[in-house]
Amino acid sequence: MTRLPLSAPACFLLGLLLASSAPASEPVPAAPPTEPAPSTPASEPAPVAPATPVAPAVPAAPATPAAPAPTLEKPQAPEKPTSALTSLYPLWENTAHLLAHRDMYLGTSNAEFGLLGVAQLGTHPLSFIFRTPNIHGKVRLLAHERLSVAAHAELVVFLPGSSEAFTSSNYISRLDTRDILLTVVPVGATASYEVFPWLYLHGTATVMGIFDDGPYRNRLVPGTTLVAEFLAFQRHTFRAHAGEVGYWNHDFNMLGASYCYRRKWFEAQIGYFYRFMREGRQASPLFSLGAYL
Amino acid sequence: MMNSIPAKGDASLNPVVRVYLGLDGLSHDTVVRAREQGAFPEWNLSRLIPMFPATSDASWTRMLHTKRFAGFEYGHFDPVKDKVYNKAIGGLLVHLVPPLEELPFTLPAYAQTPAYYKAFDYHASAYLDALWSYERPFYGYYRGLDNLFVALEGRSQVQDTFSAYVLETDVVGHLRSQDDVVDALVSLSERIERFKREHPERTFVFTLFGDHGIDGISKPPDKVVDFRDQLEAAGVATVESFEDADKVEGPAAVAILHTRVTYVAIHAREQWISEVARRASTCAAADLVFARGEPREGFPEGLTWVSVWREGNLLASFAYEAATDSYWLPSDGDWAALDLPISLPPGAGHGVFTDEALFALSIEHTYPDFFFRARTAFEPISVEFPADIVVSYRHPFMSVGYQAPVGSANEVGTAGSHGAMDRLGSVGALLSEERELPSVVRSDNVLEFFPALVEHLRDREVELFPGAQGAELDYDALR
Repeated sequence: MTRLPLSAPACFLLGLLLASSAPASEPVPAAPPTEPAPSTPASEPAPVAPATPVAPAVPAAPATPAAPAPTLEKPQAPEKPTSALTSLYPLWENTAHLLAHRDMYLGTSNAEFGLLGVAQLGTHPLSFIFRTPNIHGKVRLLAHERLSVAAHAELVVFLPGSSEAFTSSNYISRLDTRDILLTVVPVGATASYEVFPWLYLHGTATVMGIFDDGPYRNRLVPGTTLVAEFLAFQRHTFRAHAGEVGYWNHDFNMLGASYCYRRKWFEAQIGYFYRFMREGRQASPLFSLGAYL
Repeated sequence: MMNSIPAKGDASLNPVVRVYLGLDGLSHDTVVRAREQGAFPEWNLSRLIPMFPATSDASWTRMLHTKRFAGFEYGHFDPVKDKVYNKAIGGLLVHLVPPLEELPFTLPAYAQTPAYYKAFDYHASAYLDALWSYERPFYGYYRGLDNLFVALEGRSQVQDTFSAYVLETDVVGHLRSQDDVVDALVSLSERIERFKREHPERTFVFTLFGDHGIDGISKPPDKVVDFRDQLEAAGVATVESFEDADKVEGPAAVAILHTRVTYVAIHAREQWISEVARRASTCAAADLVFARGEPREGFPEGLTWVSVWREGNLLASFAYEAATDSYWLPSDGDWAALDLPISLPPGAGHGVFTDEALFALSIEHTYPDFFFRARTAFEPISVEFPADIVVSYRHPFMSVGYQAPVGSANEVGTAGSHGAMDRLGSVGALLSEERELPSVVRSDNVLEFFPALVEHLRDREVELFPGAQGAELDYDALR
């Protein structure tokens, strides 16, 4: 997630990766892929099989061992709307969808890599610029006809100075890590359920571990979020987001809306989120660009 | 991302948190009125006298002893490069749209944010914060308070001092009314008390301070003027550089129009300073015109002279002696016209007064702390390129500052202003739970009263610079 349009170096990097990605391991189809991804709402899910990417939430995924390779002769089908691979709001939201084996998503908010069709490794690439190395993973626990469940964990390390690392001093971090190394480990599970072909629900339960030698206290904080995803049109998706963090030791509620545009390998997300705290309300516009490789 | 992490600190490590809020345009009068409505009931209140001209960027810089700003505001004249920067609408945009300081390319110096921003943990709530604040000042104010208190809650987990800057009090004063500012302050007081109640694990001790007052005088459209027009009418050619000035026969000057304030800074070749000041004082908008003065016969060498003009006449001139921190006041000055109760022994050619004496005798009058403020207006204390002449407007005149291409935009910001030497737009407020205060404080001395704030600035790696020579006051002697 980022609050600003892509910087020039990020654009360059993205363009470079896009340009170099096509011949990596699979032939580039001469025509746009014609088969929707197996787990798309409009398609029948493929049966679960080991080492088979059964639910890549990737639009127009390239050919995989479990999906028939597109052929030039086959008439071109319209692109189908697809459910989200990741969610836009950081740390507390997710989906149970995974990339196919060796598929990659490269974006400003997330870089993800599919492993064996049952797992996915990723990172928030731009956070590194702001002194925040991080890595996360997701493992499928269940893939039913309409229900998928995945467990996920993330390791985020806020290096000293990260709280002051912004593109503009107009932003302030709620935390002060000028002289502090703060480690945050959210661990949780997400269920993604297809209510209708045009409506997905993603419920995430997370326990966030916060670790520091001091002055921050080590603590565990529970939180849940729910995302309702409306696959309204062929390439346009709208999402409503809600969340509660802290529960009996309430910290904040989150409410937001986002929009996703996806065409072939390209994806753009934009959202506006509110955090409601005892002290007041904060707004966060979030923006993300990405490509499925 | 970090704002979604509910990290908590150990309250036993920082049981007391000192909070310093810099409220732009926090005038003494509005604070008094807010207190009449029950706000800040047990707090200590002091009048805070800012620099002259009383304008935000230079004044915050002076008060916090941070790195000099180029001019009094973004719009300024660089006499070394002989060029005006950030003029007119361009200056306004630089003011509203901040640079991305952390991106890895060099910004030109004239577009950089003022260094005093770094003194504050919180100074804005979003990238285009200033733009929205001027568009919807109350929404901006309350949104700003939300973000400020969220930041305070988070930062106080580990910090024992927190500092924040609130722009919108000034915006409300410019765009709305003093009544609205009073309401905003009452609301702030309630928010502070609520915050304390909701966070009993720590003791929060607040201090509020402003950079200038707000005169609260509505400006009729015909009194919102471009001073260059009046200068031209007075026979002073207005130019964009000294090079152009040298091509003019007769007096010429570079006049800097700032935002919608009640002063104008003028730069002129040394040989023309007195004549430009005299002619500027004949302009309808001018109350007083201050200028670098010329040494006078019969006085010691090495004195720094300032002259004061009104309606084409030299009202007075005075000199400062740095070695003794005292002022030399010639007896031919028309001090009564300046509402200054200066009395010299009969037959004396001049009198010599201490800084404290002049501070005390001027503070209750029309032009508080007249001598120190007039003298230091021409010194590079918080301003890299101070003016040669400063025009202090009479009420209800105001500088147009910028002329927006949209007609209605030229009518905004006329509910009140500041910048002039007189008390209405000058007298700010210092309000503290932390300690007792003198009844009046010179803003140059604020940091002396709050060592925890100084320590906090150092923690934030703010480079602190010496203030004006002779700025210190013996407040015990002034009681």
